[in-house]
Amino acid sequence: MREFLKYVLWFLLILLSQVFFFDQLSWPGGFTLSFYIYFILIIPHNTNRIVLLMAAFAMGLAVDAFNDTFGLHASSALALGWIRFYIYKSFEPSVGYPENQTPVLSEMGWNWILKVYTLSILTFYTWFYMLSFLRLVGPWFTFQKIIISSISTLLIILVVQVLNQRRKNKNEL
Amino acid sequence: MQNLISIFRYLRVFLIFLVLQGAVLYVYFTSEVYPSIQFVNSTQGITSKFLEVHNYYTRYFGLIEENQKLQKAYEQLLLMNPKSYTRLTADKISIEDTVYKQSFSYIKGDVLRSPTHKANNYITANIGSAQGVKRGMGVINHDGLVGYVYEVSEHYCLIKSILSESINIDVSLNKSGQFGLLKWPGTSPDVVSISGIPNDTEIAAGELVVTRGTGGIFPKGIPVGKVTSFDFAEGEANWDLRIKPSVNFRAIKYVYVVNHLLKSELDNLESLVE
Repeated sequence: MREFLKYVLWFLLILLSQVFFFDQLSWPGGFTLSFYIYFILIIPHNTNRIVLLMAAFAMGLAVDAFNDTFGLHASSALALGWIRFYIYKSFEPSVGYPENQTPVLSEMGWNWILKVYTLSILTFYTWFYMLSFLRLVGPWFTFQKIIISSISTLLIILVVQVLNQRRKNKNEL
Repeated sequence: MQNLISIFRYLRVFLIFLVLQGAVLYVYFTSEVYPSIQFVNSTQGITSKFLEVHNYYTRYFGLIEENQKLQKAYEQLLLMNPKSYTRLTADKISIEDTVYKQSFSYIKGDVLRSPTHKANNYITANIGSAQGVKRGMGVINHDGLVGYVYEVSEHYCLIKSILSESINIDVSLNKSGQFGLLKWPGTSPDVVSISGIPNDTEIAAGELVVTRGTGGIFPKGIPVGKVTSFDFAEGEANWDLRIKPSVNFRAIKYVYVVNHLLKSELDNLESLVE
C-alpha cells in the first residue's frame, strides 16, 4: 500500500512538473519535451502488465487534457507502456530481475540505464512524431525532431536520476 | 472453447492495448475534422482553472510592450475620430452615417496559452459562449490574423491558430489582389505559405498579404504577414510563396473574436446557389 501511494505521488509530481514547467518553456527549434514518460520508465519490474498499460494511458490522457492534443500523448504513452515490457525483457539478466527491483540508476547501474532508457525514449518519440508531424513536414524533419527530443529528454531524466541517487546515498549515510 | 479462452488469456494485454490504442487514435484523427466535444481539452474543468491562474501570474511580463501598442492603437483611433477632422461641408459627416452600417463587432479575450511547437497549435482564451463566442468565428488581434474558433465552452474557447495543419484560409496579395490559400508547412512559427498564386503574378519581397474577406469570417484587409521569399513550385504553374506572419504567436497576449453581424444574411443568400 505504501509503495502504491509512493507511485501515486510520483505520478502527480511528474505530471505537475510536465504541465507547469516543461510545457511552458518554448524550446528553440520547436520540439516537444515529454518529461512525463519518466513515470512510465520507473514503474517497478514486477508490476502487472495491465496495470502498467493503464498507468501509462492515464498519464498520457492527463497530459493531453492540458495540451489540447486530443489523444496524441495518450496514444504514444500507451505505446511506450506496451513496448516497455519487451525492451526491459530483452535486457534482463539470465537469472531474471530480483524481486521488488525498480528500474532506476541506483539499482540498475549506468550500463543498463543508458541502453534501456535510450531505446524506450526513441521508441516513444518515433511513435509521437510519426503520428503528429510526418504528414506535415516529411521524414527528414521528423527524424531531426525525434533525435533532438530524445537526446534532451534522456539528458534531463539522467540528471533527475543522478540527483535522486545522491539523495538516497545521503539518507543511507 | 477451452483453447479459445486460453488464447484470449495469452493475448489479453495485447488486446487491451489494441482496444485503447484504437479508441484514442480514432479520437485523434477525427479531431482534425470534427471538434471532438467528448474529449478533455483545456477549456474544461481543472485544466482551464490552472491556465487562468498561470496567466494571472505571467501576464505582467509583457506590460511595457503591450502599453506601447495600446498607445499606438489609441493614436490611430484619435485620427479616425470626427473631432480630429475639420468639417469642410455641412453634410459630409451625416452622409457617412447612412452609407456605412456596422457589420463587424469584436469580443476581446486574454490568451491563456499559445503553443507553437505542435503539429496543430490551439490557443486557449478566456472568452466563451457566455460572451457570445461561437464555433467558427474568426480571430484577429492588433497585429493581424490569428485563426478561427474551434471549440467553445461557457467561459473559454479554443482557437485553431494559422500554425495548424490544413488551416486553409482565403488570403490575397495586397497589391495585385491575386488570391490563394494559407497553409502552414509545420517547420517554424515564423513561416507560413500560400498556395495557388500563379507564377506570372508580380511579387516583391516584403509585400503585404491580407485576408480576402470571403465567407464572412474575417473583415477584408486584415494583415496576415509579409512575403519573405518566393520560388517556382515544382511541377506547378504557381509560386511557392513563404510569408512571415504579422502576429508573434510566441508572445500573443490578447485576441479579438470577430462577430459578423450580417453573417446570417450572407449565409442565407449564399445557400440559395448551393
